[in-house]
Amino acid sequence: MWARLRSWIHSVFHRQRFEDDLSSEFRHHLESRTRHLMQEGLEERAARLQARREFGDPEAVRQSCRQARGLYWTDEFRRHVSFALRLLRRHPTFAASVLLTLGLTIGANTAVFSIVDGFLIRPLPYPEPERLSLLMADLETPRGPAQTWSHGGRIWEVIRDQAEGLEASVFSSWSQGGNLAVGDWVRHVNQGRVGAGYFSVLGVQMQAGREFSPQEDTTQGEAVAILGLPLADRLFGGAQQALGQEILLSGQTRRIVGVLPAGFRSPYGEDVWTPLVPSRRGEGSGANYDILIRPAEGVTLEQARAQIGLLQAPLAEAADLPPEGYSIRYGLAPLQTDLIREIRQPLLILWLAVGLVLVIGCVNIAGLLLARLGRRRRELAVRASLGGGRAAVLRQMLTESLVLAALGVLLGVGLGYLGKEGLELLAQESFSLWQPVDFNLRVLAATALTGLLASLLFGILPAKQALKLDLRQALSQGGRGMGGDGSHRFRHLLVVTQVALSVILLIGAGLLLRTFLHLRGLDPGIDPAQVVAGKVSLADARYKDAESVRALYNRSLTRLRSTPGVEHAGVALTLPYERALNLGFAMQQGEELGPGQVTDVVYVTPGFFRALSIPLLQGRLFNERDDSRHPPVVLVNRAFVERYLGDRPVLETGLATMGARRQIVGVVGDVQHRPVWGQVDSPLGAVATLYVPAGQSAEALFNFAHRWFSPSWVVRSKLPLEQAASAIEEAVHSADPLLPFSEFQSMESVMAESWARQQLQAVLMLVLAALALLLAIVGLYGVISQAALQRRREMGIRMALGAGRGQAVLKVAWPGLIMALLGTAMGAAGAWSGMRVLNHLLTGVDAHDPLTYATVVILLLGVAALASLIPSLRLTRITPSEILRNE
Amino acid sequence: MSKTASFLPGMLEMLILKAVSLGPAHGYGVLLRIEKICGQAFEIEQGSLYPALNRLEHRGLLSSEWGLSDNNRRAKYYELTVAGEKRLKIDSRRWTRLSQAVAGALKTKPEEI
Repeated sequence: MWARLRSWIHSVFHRQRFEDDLSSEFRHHLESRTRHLMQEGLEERAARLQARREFGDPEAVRQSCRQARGLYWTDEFRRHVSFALRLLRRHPTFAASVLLTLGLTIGANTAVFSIVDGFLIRPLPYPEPERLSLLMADLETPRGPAQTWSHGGRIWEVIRDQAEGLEASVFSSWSQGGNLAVGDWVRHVNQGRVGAGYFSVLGVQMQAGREFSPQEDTTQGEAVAILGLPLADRLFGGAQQALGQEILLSGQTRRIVGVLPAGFRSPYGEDVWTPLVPSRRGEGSGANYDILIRPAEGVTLEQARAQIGLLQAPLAEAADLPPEGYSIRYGLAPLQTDLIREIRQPLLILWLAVGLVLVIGCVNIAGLLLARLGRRRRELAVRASLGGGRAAVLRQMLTESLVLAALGVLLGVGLGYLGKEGLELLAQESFSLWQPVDFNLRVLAATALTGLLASLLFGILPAKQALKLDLRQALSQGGRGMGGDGSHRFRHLLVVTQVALSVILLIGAGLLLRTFLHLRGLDPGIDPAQVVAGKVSLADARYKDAESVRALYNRSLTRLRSTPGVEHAGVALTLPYERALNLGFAMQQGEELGPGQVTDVVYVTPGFFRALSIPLLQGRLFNERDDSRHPPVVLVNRAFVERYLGDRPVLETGLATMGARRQIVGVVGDVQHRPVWGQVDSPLGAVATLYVPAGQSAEALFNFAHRWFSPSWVVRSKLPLEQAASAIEEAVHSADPLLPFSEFQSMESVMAESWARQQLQAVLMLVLAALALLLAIVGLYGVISQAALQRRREMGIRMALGAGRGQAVLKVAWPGLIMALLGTAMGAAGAWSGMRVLNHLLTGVDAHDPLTYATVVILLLGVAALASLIPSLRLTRITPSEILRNE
Repeated sequence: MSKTASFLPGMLEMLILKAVSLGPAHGYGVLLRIEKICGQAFEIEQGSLYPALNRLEHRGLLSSEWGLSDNNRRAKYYELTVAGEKRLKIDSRRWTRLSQAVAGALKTKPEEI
């Protein structure tokens, strides 16, 4: 086997030498023979002739030798390829339409696959990534099942103290903003918070220094930090130089003990890390920690799972669930699964969609090849009868498909690269693309495989059709004969399939578009025009007490209000269209408090509502007197009134939150929030919200909330947005020069960001669906215009016999309409039963939304009618006499 | 009918292996050797020798090398490979068995049945 393969490869690649060798071998034979014969007494001329005669036809011998070496097939293949290329050059329109279709569809598949590869297939950039897991829990609640990857401090203590054979560390996956100051260089940085041993569990070696010790990961521990290499280079000119240096991070001086290596990548995008200092209190009292687990050396993943299984009882106890209706089960989930949770489904749906487009494109090409087959019957019949037979024709056809596919793959790789770059640009705004997406061997191999599959898809059917060729008929009919009835029916079936597939894609795209439009069309409850917001991290040692926070707000807002052009200014913990802080509260019932509940809570300064034009519906807004010296008050929104107060008189009701009983003094309009799980089943919603004056916020709230949220300064002004932004920056810097802003955004862009993901999904699906529609319509048009051409003569005769033009046109166009109807019906039915896959991505629209289905059906039938009528209308231009004269 | 026999399938290859096993030879040399060892029993169409040589080399039973022939011309010399030796041994054993069986069969007389 090997010997043959080696010999074959050798002869293929040293083809010229093989031929030369044969020549000299033959020459040597003839010369020796001649000499031999001369020795036997023949004269030279006669001897030479005799030698030649005895040898036989050298060309035939040579051919047999080639065959002996397995070169026959490669020779034939080469001939077929060059013939296929010639054929393409001779029919540039055909070549262009096929290659464009293939290039676009293969390119789209390549682009999407490169993203799929980067996220779903490529392992995480850490050693033995498949062993890295997160502790996760399946939760049964009265509202239904849920999963959680975040845990409280007590859960961590159970894992740390009782689990055996596991390397575990705790971290916060909510990376927070930090204010980094070195000398007078001040910048906003992303601060990660990790427990001792985190990097060794991850499997990452420090570039310099070490990671946090258990001692440093406690409240008594020294204030230390780890830097990413880029920041170490930027600040100190290298990893070694950074060790032992001090930085001022969020008002606290920290000593650098370690620097991460170049190329370290993390999904959370941190610049600097500090010890987490896990505890049962504060953030540790809620589910705010992630627990990273790697089985110790020699322990299998299965054993690790079993170990977690043994700890169910203590873990469940530590989870401290409400007694009624809740149960919890802990397990291990691969880290990768967690990291791709948000991107996985949209990506798989996109992949499915480009796959469908590829199929539609291939169907189109199959149609084109079938049509061409009709025109080539004579050529193929001649070929088959001259030798090689049907098998040779089949090989010829398949080679042509392969050549098309190969060219399509080349084009597809190029277009796919561009598409990948574009996708990356579009996607990075709504998904965190932390792994590089590149064109590796896997992507190229997948593209080649796609091309091969495509060539089979569009090549097999025409080839099968070619096998049915009736030689005698094809030869006798001359060039006029087209594919028989069978091939017609077949092309019609292809068109119906195409229409059905594109209807499915169009409906999917329509539903995603409706989702996006729904989100964008939600009543914002604010007037976003001319509003700018800037965020500052106050998770800062200098803002631990409430007075300093309030002083910062008062000083900066006073200055802002005196800036010419500024109309209203305020500060809020979170903005509309963002996720808000969840806190507990209880309604006051007489002197008693009702049961504890959880809702969105936002602290604001008095100017906030006017800056965003949030309407006051009842009572009053906050004013400067709502401070710690006056009775605690609270504002609620309409959704809160509807949900918790019903018909009770709002303004006489009190409630308790953040350790104080507060009087409700007014009701404001709803704004959109990004709900957390369980509040509203939608990416945006009018969540019941409590507004608390910043002047009456407890110190504990500030500390608690600022760990996760950077408060926003909001300004409504007559100024251009950049000027308003710099006014905010100046005002805050006049109060504290060491507070960097992380970002400034217009309120409109805050809103746009909240639906960016749905917009991206809708746009991508629309592009693909449009491509599919175009391909399907081109296919339909092709079939009808070919029919119109073929039936010219028949129609001419009919017209001569008295049929109207309209009748003739309809007769030709009719099959197109039937195909469109059939395809649309099949597609709509398919979508109806299959659209469930989109359920998670849809909001404000049902997967069986009648409007979307109706619109798509009407659109498709309309376009299909045009595509059928336009080519048929050509028949109106013919006159019967002209047709009959041509006969 | 000519007085020389034609080849059964596989025979030419076997004879070539045998000829080459007697020592490296070029194409024409193989032909001469076969004629010599077969005593002119077969007529070989000389051209058909070369596809057979190519087939054997393709199957790894022969190896070849360019050298100078006795008349000082460049010639391709064939040599038996290890696999070729093995193949020749198997083939000749099989051939002997076959020809004995056939010869025995042909000598059968009516009373022996």
